[in-house]
Amino acid sequence: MKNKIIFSILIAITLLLSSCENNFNPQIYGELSSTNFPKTESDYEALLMTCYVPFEVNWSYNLTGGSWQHGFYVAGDGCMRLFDATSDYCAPWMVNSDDGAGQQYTEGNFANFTLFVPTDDNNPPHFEKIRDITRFTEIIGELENSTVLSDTIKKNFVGEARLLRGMMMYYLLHIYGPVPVILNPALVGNTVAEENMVRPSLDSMVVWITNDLEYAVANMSNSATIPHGRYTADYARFCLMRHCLNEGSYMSGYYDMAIEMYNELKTSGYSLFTADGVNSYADQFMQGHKFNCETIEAVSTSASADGSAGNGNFNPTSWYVVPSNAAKYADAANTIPTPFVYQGGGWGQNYNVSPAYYDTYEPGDLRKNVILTSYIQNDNARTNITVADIGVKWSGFIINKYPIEIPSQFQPTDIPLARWADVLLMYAEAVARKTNAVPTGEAMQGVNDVRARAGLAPLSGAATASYDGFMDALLAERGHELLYEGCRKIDLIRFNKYRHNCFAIKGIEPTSQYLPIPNYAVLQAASYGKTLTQFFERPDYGQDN
Amino acid sequence: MKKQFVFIVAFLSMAGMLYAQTPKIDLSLKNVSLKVCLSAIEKQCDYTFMYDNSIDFNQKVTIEAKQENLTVVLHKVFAQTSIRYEIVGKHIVLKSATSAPQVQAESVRKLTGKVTDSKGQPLPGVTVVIQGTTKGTISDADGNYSLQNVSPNETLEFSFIGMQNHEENIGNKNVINVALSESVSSLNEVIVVGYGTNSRKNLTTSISSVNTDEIPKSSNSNMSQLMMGRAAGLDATVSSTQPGGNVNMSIRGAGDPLYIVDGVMMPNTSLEGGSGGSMTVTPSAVNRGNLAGLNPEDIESVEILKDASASIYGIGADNGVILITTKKGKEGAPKVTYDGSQSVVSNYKYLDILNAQQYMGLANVFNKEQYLYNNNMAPYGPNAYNNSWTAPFSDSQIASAQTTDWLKSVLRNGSIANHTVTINGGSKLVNYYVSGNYFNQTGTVSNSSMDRYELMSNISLQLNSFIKLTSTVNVNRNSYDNSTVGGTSNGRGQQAEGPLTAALTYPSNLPLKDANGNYTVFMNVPNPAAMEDILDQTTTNGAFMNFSADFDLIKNMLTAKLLYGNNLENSRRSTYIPSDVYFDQMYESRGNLGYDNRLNQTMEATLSFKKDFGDFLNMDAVVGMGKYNNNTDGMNVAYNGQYDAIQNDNLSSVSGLVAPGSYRTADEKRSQFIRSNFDFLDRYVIAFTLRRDGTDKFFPGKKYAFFPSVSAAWKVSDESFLKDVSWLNQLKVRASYGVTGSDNLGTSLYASYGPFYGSQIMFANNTVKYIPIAINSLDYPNVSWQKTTMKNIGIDFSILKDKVWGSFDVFQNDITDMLGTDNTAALSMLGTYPVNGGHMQRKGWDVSINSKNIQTKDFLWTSVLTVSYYNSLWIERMPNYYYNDYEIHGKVPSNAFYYYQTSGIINADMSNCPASQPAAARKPGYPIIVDQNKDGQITTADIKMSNEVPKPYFGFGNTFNYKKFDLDIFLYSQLGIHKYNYALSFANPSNLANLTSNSNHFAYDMWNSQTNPHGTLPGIAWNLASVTLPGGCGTDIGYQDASFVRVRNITLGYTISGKNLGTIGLYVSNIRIYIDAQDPLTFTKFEGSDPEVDSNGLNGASFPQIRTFTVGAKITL
Repeated sequence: MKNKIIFSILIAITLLLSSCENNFNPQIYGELSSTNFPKTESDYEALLMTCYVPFEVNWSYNLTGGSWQHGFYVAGDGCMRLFDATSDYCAPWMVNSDDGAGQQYTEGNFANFTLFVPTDDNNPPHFEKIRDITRFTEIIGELENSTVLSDTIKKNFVGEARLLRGMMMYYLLHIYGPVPVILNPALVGNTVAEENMVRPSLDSMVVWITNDLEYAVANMSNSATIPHGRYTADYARFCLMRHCLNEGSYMSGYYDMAIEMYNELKTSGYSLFTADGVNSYADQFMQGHKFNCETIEAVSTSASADGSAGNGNFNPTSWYVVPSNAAKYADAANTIPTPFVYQGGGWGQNYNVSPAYYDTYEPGDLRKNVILTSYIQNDNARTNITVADIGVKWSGFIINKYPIEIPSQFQPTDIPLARWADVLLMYAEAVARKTNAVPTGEAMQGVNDVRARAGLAPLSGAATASYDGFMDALLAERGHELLYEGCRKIDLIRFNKYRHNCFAIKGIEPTSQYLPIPNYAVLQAASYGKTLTQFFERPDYGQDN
Repeated sequence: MKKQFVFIVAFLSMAGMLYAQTPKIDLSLKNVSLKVCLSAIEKQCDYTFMYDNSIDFNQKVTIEAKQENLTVVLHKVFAQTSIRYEIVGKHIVLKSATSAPQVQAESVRKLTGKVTDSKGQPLPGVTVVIQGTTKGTISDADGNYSLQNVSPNETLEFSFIGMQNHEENIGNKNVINVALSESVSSLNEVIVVGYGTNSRKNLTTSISSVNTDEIPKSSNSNMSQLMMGRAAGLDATVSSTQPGGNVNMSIRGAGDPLYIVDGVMMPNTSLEGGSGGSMTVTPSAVNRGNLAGLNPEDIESVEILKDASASIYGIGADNGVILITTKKGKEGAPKVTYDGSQSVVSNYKYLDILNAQQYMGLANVFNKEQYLYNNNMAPYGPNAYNNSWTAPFSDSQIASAQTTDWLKSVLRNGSIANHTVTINGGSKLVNYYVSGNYFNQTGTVSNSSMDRYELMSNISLQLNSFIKLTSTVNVNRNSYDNSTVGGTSNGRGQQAEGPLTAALTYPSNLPLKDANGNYTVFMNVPNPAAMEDILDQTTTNGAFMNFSADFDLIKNMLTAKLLYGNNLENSRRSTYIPSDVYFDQMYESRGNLGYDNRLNQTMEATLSFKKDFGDFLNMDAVVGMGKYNNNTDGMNVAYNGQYDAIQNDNLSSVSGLVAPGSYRTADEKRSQFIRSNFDFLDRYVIAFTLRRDGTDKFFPGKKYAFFPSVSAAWKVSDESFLKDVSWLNQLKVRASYGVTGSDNLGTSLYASYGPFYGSQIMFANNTVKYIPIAINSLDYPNVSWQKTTMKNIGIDFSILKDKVWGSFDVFQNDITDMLGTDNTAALSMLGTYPVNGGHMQRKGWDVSINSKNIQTKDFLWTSVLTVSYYNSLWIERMPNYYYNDYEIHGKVPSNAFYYYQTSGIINADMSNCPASQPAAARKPGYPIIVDQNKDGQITTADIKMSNEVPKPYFGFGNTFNYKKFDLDIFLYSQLGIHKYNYALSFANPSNLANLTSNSNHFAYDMWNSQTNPHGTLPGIAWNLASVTLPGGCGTDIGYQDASFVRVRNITLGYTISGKNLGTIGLYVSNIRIYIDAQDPLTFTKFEGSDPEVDSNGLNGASFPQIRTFTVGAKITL
């Protein structure tokens, strides 16, 4: 009996011990907390680097912990789809298409984009990126409040973060029109602010972008130690210049600011890449000429990437532009390689150059060399597919500006973001718009320098006879020079020729000037008692005929 | 109602000792218990003691004997006690002195016989008494019994726990053999409940009990594979037929249940490492079940707690609980059984893919359709055909084409070998159950297999009169070849398809290898045959160790138990793609090596109290505390650039990218609980449970919650007014109410900074690298438990002399304060946040009926039927749920499927195209969208909704015993669910037109203007028109009724025992040989590869359904 009593006591003690409620906090491993981060300059730099995530080239990223998003420079769903495929030079993708959004972008048919939902990994609405802007604002707040950083470093970091935030706003403006954003770090986490789903005015949004870019221009550096691909003050100048040009028609002083940016950029000594003679235009994009004298900014890529967010940048364009039945070799014996020898067919020709647009090139324009007007089909006969097969075997010509150079599915072709040729054309445009006249001197010379490299004579005739004639020529010049560099639709809207040119070349009018904000967001706004206008168009869109 | 329990200590009689001499005994025992003494005597003779529980075996005796006669020894021993003894045949029957006077031992006649169960297995220890007397005996180890001095007008009564009592008139017979049938009456069935057991008749809650002994197990590696249709309220459907494949287990429509094995909480998923993520992008085909190391043969019973009975487990029990009890040693001589079987496995017919001629012909047809469509030619447009289309394949190419059967390079026949040896026995002091298992399965898809070695030992030791120690050890090693079957992962398309998907994609006119002997490559799709060289292997070592100590504090009243349970699993997964296999659009060696560990610990202390207060009240109660820890950790290295000869065996020779990863998690729960049962007047039972659970996940103040339950039963048939209703043997009405909870969030509630899903920022040709870090979660101090309130009303009944019995239950479960992640405000930098919100409700009923249809001397037919039904509704969504335009707000089925109904295909002259058809969809070959509200236009108002919950589904089993034959046929069903027939995503007009994929026989149903103007499936306009219907809602095209009834098992057995064994009988007591067909037949209208097996999303082919044919034998020594 004694034993039983001892055991009873033992059990009672065990029960008591296990009821102890100390040390009952969660064990969280592998993460940092506000008690140990950020503490050093490199911690703050890691914080800053978060703002680059949407500008990296990989398949998708997730900054919100919610839905996945596509970055701006990935061929699948970035600027190429938003601003090139929707523009005049891409024919509707009708052969072997995805039967869905990819085809509708090329048709300028945005009506159904109201149905995009964040949970769709294939077509996540870019609208969700307004959350990323709030995050950037939070990061800017943390950088500004840092007691660790020196004043110079702090301003430099903040400038870089504001450039990235400015570009997020810039792209969203050109996708949807003005969108709600949070720019005051004190409002991050504030429910009222976070539910304020109302479009700001166009002027406000434009000024916010300008403020961020101006701050970046004033506080970032051009130091030679900045690794290629990380943004510089000059890239900020380029971005501000383009933004000012876009919005200068109704914002005072913007053309002056654009011209000022040109003058500042000029001091950095950029020049057109001409080292390869007649092939210079095409060659500048190839991997042997990364960051050449013309490059102000580019996404620096390498073949070491693998598409995941963790392994760097690459250029996947070829998968989206080469027909899936393209052959590696032109002959059955596999001795004559085609341009696609390292890859074979792509995933389907999402983007193309319409034959009608191809015809707008002047004879002898060397820039046509980046367009392939035929290809060899991967069948036993190795059939040559030509312009006669358009609409049957393919929807348009192959854009070969970012060629397949190595036997890897991850091509190391840098993705151009800012080129001196663009600056020259923008400068001429700024001067023309400011003076409302055909530019002369340095401004006109810049345009002709760009033409000269393409093997063309200086502008003449109608192009120099009137302001309108010059502007028409400039728009055409920009299309030929900047083909598939992710800015065409923005250019067309600046010239108020978006609807006009699309109809003229593709025979299709876009359903709206900008993409609609998806229904889910409109409904969400309504649930907060807000009205979020679904469609936006600029006041002068009515004159785009 | 207390039955007189009779114990037997029986040992094998030596064959041939029919006329044994009075044996001589050697003994020298001093002050030992009577029990020890008797067992010592038994060891020296072939006599067995027979006694009832009036005998006090703890009384001490002393005996000194040297080669003395048994009778002398017995006399000496019992002289020290008040026990009288009598030798009857080979039995020594003991009686306490107060027992009734013994029957005279004058021999009149001798009666012998053998007692077996319904399958012919001998039953030792069966009490055989002459009715109305205490005269009787007990059957020996071989089931034999003998009685002397019986008279013809007497009746024999056979009784045995778990068996139905049986009566037999003696008459003139000298031999009476009896087969006892299982005590099918649920009356005395012992049910395992949370922290204890209960008899079925006193149960107040809804618990299904599955006796796994009755289910054919040979070809199944996992307990869950036995459960299809076996329990009312449990929806078990096959998720994958791969070796070790997963079965979706859902109790009353809920998610993964809580698994408790011998009191230890076990994980409800299998432990699987990754295969290299974006570095290898191999399809993640692994879909295996939990408890992979537990041999189904070692399971004694499975109980499914469906209602408030789960409340005693509080945390994690909101989806119900599956209690698994493993086999324990039983007192008696060592019983050795060997069960071995060999199975052949074959695939059900997979998709009927096109041969070369069919493919090329149809490609020509749809290529021309595309040409006509794109050029606005008839019938698609006003233009006339211009005769300028050229066929992709010429007639001569088609005529000379050779067919490659790509499926054949991936699918094959499989096999299963399953061998189990068990040793079971024990004494009053030590009981043991030891088993070993080898299971080997070759899968029916290339590169799929499973190998298991398992050792299980269950040993209990009665240390002294009040301490019992029990240890369970299960060590196992499972090795798998993971076939890379399935859809793509990591956002890849067809360039990273699994071999089965690729085999459906590869055109049949393509040869396996080209002229140079290299595998052909079709576009960028990997070659199905070449993919066989991709290595993907998993080895998992498991150790389940459970130690408990039971303390008998006050005899028959107060006991205590300490339990420490420990489940440890280590897994190693090795993946390697050799450099000569074209995969993901490149020839490059890639690999991943990963190790994953997990540890689940259960520590519990319980006190049990049991007392009878006369006839008025029986009560029992359990109070306890527990602590539960789960830990995981692991690491992996993914890389590219390796020597194919080295692979994962030495990663230091890797020349390319190396991406390491690691993780570690820990969580803890602490609990206090009480369960109590009160049985008043043997008619009214009331039970209460209360659990207080704490979890470390929540913030202080939110950590703990109470989970109460109350349930009651009224044993109506025990009331005096029903006592005389002869056809009613039992009727019990019960009701229960209980609360369970969940803390299963998966994310931390505490603020942290971290990297973003592996994002890295790189510059300068990816040589300068930064890891971006920012806030990735905030503090959420208000988030707490999700609660599930379970209500159940049921009846248990048994009628017609216990020939029909069963249960019927109706339930309603309300899940409130649902713990989940909701969308944040639109401008929040975090997309989602954890929140308690939303309310879901599940209602339904389940019924189980057992019957004994025919029972004669040689023939027994029994049936079992389970029927289950549930419906699941959203009462309230999460606060920021994104609605589609057409979605119904408010109360809506949680499995709502919205679609536009279609009705036929627009014909070539468009004569059947209704005015309501959307403009862009007015093309021949486009499906006709039904204008439901007849308003002349298609709007979101025309969208239909179907509630995708199963209709009442059933399991139905019939068992026939005829003499030594037994036949078991079991069916189960899944009814009323619609599934997409993903064969149609391969039979696609656009794929044919553009020569981007092979197709299958559904292509012949696709509309086209040339050869199939009456086609029933959409034509190429469906693809090319790129129409988004209002609201973006899809159609019903391709969705089919996936109802099915499947014959799960047909098993035929034959038992050989006794004399029939001949000389083998010297060594073997019993042999049962059996053949089994598993899943031999399926009845369904579904046209896809299988209506049940998950199709891995819609873009990937899954493992085919399989048929398994088994031959086996179970030998009992």
